[in-house]
Amino acid sequence: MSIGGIDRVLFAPAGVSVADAILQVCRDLWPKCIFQDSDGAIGHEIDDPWVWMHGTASDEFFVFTDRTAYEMWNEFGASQENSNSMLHFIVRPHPGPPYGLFEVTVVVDQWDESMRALDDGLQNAFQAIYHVRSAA
Amino acid sequence: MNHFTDRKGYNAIAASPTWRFRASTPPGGHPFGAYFTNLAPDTVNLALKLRIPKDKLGYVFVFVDLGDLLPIAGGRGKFIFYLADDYLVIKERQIYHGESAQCPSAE
Repeated sequence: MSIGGIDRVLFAPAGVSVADAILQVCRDLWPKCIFQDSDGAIGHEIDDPWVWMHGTASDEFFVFTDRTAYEMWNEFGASQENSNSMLHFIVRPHPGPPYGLFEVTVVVDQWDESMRALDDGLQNAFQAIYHVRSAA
Repeated sequence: MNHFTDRKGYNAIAASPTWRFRASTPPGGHPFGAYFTNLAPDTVNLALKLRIPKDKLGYVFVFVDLGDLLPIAGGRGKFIFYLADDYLVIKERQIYHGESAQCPSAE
């Protein structure tokens, strides 16, 4: 059985909405991206209020770079044509040590410039959360 | 535990009474090994979670898990496992093999 994807693991502070931070980074990079819960059948546009009211409670979800990517992935699964147009996020408590962290797994297809931009955005967002928490 | 494949892979594995799942190197820097999942054929968004083409899910081998497989690193380790070598499943552990759409029960 083949599996696809590069699994990148990052860490975020606990006690805040990690999914919210992830989706803000995705929206900045892909303003027309689509959110889909990993157990859901419906893709929601990133500006749909449902995403920010309910989607951010998800601990596993997909983000498609646009509606075309959402349709291709849901019809065909992975292909060369849709490479790096779907990001798979899994958020879970890090068993530690260190404690007080979430483990964030990001699954992509290739490590290219867009994925490095995503990685930088996520790391900056998580560091910003940490500094806000530390200052509180 | 489950192993999904296409018709060609199915015919090769099912040809022997003892199933042999051959190790290989998947993309993405994952270790050399034989890979499996505890996700059932009817799992919602299965192809997206495994990140493979849907036509690689047409056939499935289902067997009793002995707990001897390793989870991959990161969050997908809750549903993707591997062994760094060919993996053999004797007849007594075999539950089902055939078209995924006909699989009678989840693993």
